Amino acid sequence: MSEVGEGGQPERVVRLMFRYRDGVPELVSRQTVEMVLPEADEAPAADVGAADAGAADIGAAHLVFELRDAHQRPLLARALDDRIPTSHEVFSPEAIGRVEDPQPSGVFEVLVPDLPDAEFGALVAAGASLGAAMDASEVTFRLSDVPEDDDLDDEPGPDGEGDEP
Amino acid sequence: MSTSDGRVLSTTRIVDNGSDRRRWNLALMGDGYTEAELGAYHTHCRDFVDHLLSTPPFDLMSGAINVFRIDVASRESGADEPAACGGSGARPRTFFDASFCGFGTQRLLVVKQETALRTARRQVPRNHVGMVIVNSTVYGGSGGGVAVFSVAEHAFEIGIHEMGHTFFKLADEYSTLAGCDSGETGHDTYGGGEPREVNATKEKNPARVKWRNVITPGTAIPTTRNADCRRCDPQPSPVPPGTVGLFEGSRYFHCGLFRPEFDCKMRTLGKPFCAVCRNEIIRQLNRFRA
Repeated sequence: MSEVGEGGQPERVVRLMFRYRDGVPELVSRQTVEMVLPEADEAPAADVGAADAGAADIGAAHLVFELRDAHQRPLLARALDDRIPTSHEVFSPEAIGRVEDPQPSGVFEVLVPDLPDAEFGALVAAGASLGAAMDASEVTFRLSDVPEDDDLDDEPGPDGEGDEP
Repeated sequence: MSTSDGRVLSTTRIVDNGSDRRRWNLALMGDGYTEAELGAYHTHCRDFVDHLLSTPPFDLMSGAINVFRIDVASRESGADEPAACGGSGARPRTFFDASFCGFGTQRLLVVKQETALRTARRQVPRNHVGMVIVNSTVYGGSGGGVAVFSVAEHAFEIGIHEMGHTFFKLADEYSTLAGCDSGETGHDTYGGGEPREVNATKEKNPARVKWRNVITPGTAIPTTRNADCRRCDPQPSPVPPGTVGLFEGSRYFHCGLFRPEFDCKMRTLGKPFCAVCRNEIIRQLNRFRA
């Protein structure tokens, strides 16, 4: 059983990788490591389970990731702004701009605590702005359907330096 | 044009501030470097790290940061430069398949993001951010799951700007989507809710502005307004650099959204981060100093 760490303390973390193509995201891998989680980007209450909330403005989280228990009850929600971008930043020597991508495809990662009761993950479209990028308003994954990558938690650092004894 | 066009050789911690269980871990990868060019890659990584760690506020937070250099040897040197975008037509065989002309845009330098993320997680399991340095002197880069940038002069700034998005959740502060001279429509006046990012607001009431605590005393609020919302505001700053106030034009809109300072690295590469962005970076990196 894992414990959720205090802010700034290492804890067991699950790194989930999602691939999206033609509006369909899929969970493609997961890996458990002990590390300090970035500050939680808490999803506003209005965004949690808010596929039909109509939070269509650009200020709302476009996408929310939820960890859920066996009964699909949310245990944790994280805002995932811009993880399925519909435009890309272009850097020229003179200026920065963006070019639109009407059919986004790519990958993104999510880091969440390793909660013992978590059985499902869900990507929830929290605003109409995501409609072009994700076919369904919600996509649910059983975490155990994706085999754990090699558990690297006990591996030494790549050069064998710096790890705690 | 794939991982068969190169191989991962080794990973070396080039900035070591202690256990990677406790620190913020940056994973650098290279593409388009042949094995014989890895010495140049090492130099490019060092130069990037020096640039990053001399950029405020990272200069104050270096004790929180580890940097790992992943050595990847590609079969051939450089990046694809498709002729369709005015490039040379070169198509070198490289591990991450770096290519200019992403989405038909010359300067959009992209790589196979999944390959990069998998390489980063395999080599640096506790990484928080991954970046790919591409062995090309043509200016370009991109964001996404990993930041990508070339070794052209000033291109390192792309990596730092993108880090502002991917890890620190900072908003772009420029006031156009397609460019001020593009004639774009739909970006005149923002009509949505309050942005989530710390460095953008629609709020004009100084008592409710997110960064009210760092507004420079005596600064007019709003500090600038755009007189013609059909286009970007052309006026110069009415206040000295570093003045925190409320400047109209941000997050791809000519009007209706405000930024904290006249300029910032999230608006113009080569400029310092504004105070609000600096404070947010410090706040988030503090988790990694324990």
